[in-house]
Amino acid sequence: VSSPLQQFEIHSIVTLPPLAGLDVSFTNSSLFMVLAAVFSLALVTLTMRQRALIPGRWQALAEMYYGFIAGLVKETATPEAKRFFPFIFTLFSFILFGNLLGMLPFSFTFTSHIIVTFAMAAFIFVLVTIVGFVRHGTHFFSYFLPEGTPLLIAPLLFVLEVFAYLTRPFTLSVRLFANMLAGHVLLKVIISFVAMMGVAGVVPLLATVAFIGFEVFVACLQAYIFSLLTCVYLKDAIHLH
Amino acid sequence: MSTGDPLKDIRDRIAAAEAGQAAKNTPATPLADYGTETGKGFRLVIDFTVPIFVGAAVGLWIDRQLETLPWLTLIFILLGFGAGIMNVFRSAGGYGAVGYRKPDPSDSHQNTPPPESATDEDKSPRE
Repeated sequence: VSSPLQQFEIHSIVTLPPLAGLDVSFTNSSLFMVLAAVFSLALVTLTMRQRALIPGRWQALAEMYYGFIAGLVKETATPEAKRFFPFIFTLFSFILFGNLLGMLPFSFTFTSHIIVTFAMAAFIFVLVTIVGFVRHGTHFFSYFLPEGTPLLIAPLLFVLEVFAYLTRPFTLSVRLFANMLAGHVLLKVIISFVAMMGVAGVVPLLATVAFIGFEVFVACLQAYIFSLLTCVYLKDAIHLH
Repeated sequence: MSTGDPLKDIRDRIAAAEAGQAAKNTPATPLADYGTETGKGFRLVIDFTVPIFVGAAVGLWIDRQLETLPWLTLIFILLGFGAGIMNVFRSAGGYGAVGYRKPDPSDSHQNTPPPESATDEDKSPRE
């Protein structure tokens, strides 16, 4: 029985010479990132080619998809955050297709690697901090000590708030990474029971069917939660609570 | 059709519309409300534990640089613990970023009534 962690191994498809001491080979991870980008592009371009006044099925899908994220940005991040809509839309599509492509057999889930999710979370963290400083200048620091804080505990709360703020990229990235990793490992472990248990393997087989459905749900939900939290952070930076 | 009160129908419709408007004005659903029960628990666990590990890592690194082991590690773990509690408090309550702040009437996102899940005992620590 192969290791349940084998599916997360990265191997290069096209080996490239190192660039500035870094291995920049085109790996299976890169391949699925490209696929995720291509699929999300296809979803919003191919389906909209007709631009019909009365949308067909595919166009309706693309319009609903667009409207869903537009609604998320408008409601969660307030209408002033509309200029970040393209960013949130790209982010959501990339994670969603990354998660869903990872559900296909023999595929690779790049969102199950913490360095990938951390890179996205760190970018969001830097972006949100810049937005906060650009909009509020040094007044942004009041975010860490809002009015109504009792003076006695203010120094402690300030330190805790700053620390909680600084750990945001970690909580944001671990949330997505841990969900995808745990789901895929568990799936693999249950599937390995099917072969081991012989005839009684029907039970884990049925469990696998249900679990795959659940994993598809988690894939969509985690993409949504990642985008939702980005919107919440943007709202905080723009409005300071 | 409308036997008793002719205004009842329109009154009901106004009430329904107002309820819909109020629902729109309430702050976005607390994050803890998304997903399955396991998912919610899982999320809170991550919110709580990650800052502790980050604190431990940061503290250990600074300690190694300054050769002050174990003091800063201990302090940063405690900081992470506090930050984790605030994260959980926030996700569970779903109130903006800071839960202990008094609601500000000038802020439209704060003065709307809390969702029905917010009972009196989870309101008190915010005051």
